[in-house]
Amino acid sequence: MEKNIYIPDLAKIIRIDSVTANEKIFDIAFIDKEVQKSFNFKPGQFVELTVFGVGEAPFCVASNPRNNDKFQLCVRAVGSVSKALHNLKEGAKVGIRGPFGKGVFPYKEAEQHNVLVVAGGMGLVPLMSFLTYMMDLREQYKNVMIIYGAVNPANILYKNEISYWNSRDDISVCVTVDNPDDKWTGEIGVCTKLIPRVDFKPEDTYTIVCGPPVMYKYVVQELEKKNFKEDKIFLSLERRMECGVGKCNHCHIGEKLVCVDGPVFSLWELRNIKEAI
Amino acid sequence: MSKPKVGIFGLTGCGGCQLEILNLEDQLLDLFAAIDIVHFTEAITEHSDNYDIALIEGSVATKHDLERLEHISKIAKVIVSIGACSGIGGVNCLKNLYGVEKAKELVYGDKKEWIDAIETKPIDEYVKVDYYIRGCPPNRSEIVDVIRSLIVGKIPEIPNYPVCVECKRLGNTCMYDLGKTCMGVVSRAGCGARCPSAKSGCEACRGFIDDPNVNAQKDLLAKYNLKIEDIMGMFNLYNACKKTDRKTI
Amino acid sequence: MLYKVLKKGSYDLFLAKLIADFEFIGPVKKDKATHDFKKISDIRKLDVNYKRTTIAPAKKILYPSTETLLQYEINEDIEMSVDYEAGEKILFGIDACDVNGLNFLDRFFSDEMIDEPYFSKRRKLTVIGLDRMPSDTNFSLSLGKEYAKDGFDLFLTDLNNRYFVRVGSEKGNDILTKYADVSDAGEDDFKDYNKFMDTYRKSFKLKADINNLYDNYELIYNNKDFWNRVAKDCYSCGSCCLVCPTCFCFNVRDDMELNLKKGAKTREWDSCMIPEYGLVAGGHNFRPDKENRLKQRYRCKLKTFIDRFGTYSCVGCGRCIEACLAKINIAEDINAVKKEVSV
Repeated sequence: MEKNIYIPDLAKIIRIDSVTANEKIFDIAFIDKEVQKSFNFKPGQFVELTVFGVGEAPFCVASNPRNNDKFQLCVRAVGSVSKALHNLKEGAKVGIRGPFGKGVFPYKEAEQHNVLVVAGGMGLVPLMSFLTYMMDLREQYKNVMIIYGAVNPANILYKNEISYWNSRDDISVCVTVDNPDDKWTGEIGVCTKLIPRVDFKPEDTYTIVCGPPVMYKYVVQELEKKNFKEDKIFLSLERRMECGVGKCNHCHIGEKLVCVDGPVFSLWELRNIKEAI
Repeated sequence: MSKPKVGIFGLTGCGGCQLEILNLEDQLLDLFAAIDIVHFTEAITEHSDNYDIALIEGSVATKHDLERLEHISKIAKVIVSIGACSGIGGVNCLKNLYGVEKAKELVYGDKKEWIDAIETKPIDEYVKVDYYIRGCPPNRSEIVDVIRSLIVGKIPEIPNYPVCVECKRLGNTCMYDLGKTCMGVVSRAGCGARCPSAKSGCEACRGFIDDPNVNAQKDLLAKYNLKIEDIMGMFNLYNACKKTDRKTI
Repeated sequence: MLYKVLKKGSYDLFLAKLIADFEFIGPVKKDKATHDFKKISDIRKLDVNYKRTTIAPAKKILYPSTETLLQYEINEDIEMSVDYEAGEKILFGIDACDVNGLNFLDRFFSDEMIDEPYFSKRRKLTVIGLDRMPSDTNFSLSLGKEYAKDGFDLFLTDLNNRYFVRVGSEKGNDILTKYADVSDAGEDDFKDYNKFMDTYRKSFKLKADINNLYDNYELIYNNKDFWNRVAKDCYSCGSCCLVCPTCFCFNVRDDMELNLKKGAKTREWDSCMIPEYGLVAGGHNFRPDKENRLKQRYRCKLKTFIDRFGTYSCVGCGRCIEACLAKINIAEDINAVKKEVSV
């Protein structure tokens, strides 16, 4: 019989790392080793995580898809499930369904092209699966530039990874903050401000954007000024997703379902969908 | 995890909400196992001022109510309003329509000076309320749901949709199809459409939904040849309390 | 398809036998205003002559308004189990557009991934349809949903002195052979069936001109005045969705008992007309106004599934029109779009 799409597999939180005041990284592995081994996700896909007694919520997988002995989520405590998840200790059991989503970051299509990554706030989290994958296979891609905007220095996620990227000479990284503190020496302002500096050839560049809903309109405007191609710009969308499998319908936008057809869409697809951005 | 200490208090009201907690019967043992009840106005004589969560029923209708509420709010970390009187003012607020002095005179005559009544208000006019268990009387399963949510650290799921949703889920015939009037379409659900299920129109004891289409509702009631006083009466029964940032009519 | 004829005189006996042998669900008078699909154990309770559509659509048999998706028990380990109720049932007396409603849900709940709670019941449901004259709010003819080509095991049409029976499945044929005295349909039977269908199609009072809506909708989409007008009286109460035979949206809740050992995940019907529907963690609402929500509902009913399945998800049964206290009428609004674009 086919697997029941509503029953999660049990998984264990094997490590918790507090990255900022409000965000934690969870390393998770399925209890059944066979399930873990067959858990092959693509960059941009998400899982539905159950904290028993509280509920279920979608989270994009943040770890490298090439690593299949565990996976990683980075979670901000905003809703019931994420807050309850923050209260769990290492060793706690959760339920996992997924990976879900056919719309993933264009990790294959972007090979032999320049890659521009624009991340705002928590938007860096889903991108981490793509970025870590790309770093492993760096020679497959041409120039790579990462633009990341955070509210303030304390909110910057993945500081270790960012300094590692900074140490490499084959990636350029620009981090900008809205509200700098005394020690901040980097860029100030929203991440859209840095787009004009990108000197990649539009027809040879894949752009991948992930951030809060308000950011997309402005990022897209900047990208268009530079004549970037709509079918080479990809955005990851956030909507309320309860089932993850295209049944509960909460995440629909126009004719598409974010959980099934997304969460990553090309700008060309989104142009033809009302309410998308 | 240590058991949370809970105080259950009653201000001006009928005490029915506290009674509903006692009516939990088959779940009472589990409830006592999950929380430590250190004060329960209607049920236990002992009293302690050491509690984390306060469940408060009744509205603030006297100066004495207000003093007690302020005392409780200084101690409790989480305040849960329980019932219509506490959450939206409830029927107690009908008094306000007469004016406090006039109401005192009507009820207590020449003894009115003995009464320290003030304008009736729900408790959130004075203190910040974290969660609301709504209704007159509140739904027992919702009482359990909120307490359990507080224990597991979940935001309780209190409906903000109208009673129509519950009627339709239950397959009830619409009160209007039975020639009756009903406030369900603008009133907050969570009761399991208790009154319409018993073929009696909803009286909005849980207050209104966040964005009620009041004009449409007045037009609708007018179509049923109700006089403006009757319409206002339906809106006012539980919701006469005017509050600046709450949508009332 | 097999075509049979059932004599009027043996109709009652046929049903009585089915009621005796199966869990039998059919239209029952609920009160002075409404009918409902309910379990019947006495044939006298069955009432197929209802004027309005039944209050709750038949989907509730396959997709109940609240349903447990899974139960769990937390001990050393977490044990999960499912128990989807699935006895053999007969659903009798649903009309053509409601059969089309079931057809839509069959397709929807099997698209991409199988919804086991739904199909565990669907596999064990025998559907016996029955043609009836359209109610005042039924506009299924305009959507091409007034006739059910498939999705039933048997479909009966009353030709006064006999029933014309379309046999849609082997299961249907077995039941007919075992429980009824039927003969093969002949030329005269087809002739009368045609006459009935002509009369039936002429009886639709409410009509919607849906031609070009697919394209026109894009033009009307940003017309604020239009949507303010159409949605002015909307209560955002969700009744239209909750009585719809094809609406499928649901919420999932996870509730644990007070002992924090046992719990269950439950789904319950939701509605895109309720403000909370578009809310995400953090408080952003993607559809905060009633105009946007109504616009969205119409699109889902009349456009989305043209793209996805090549069909409307609205079957034109008219339940939402009857249920709406604000008198919002989807058929009239379809016509209003046409008018707005044409004038």
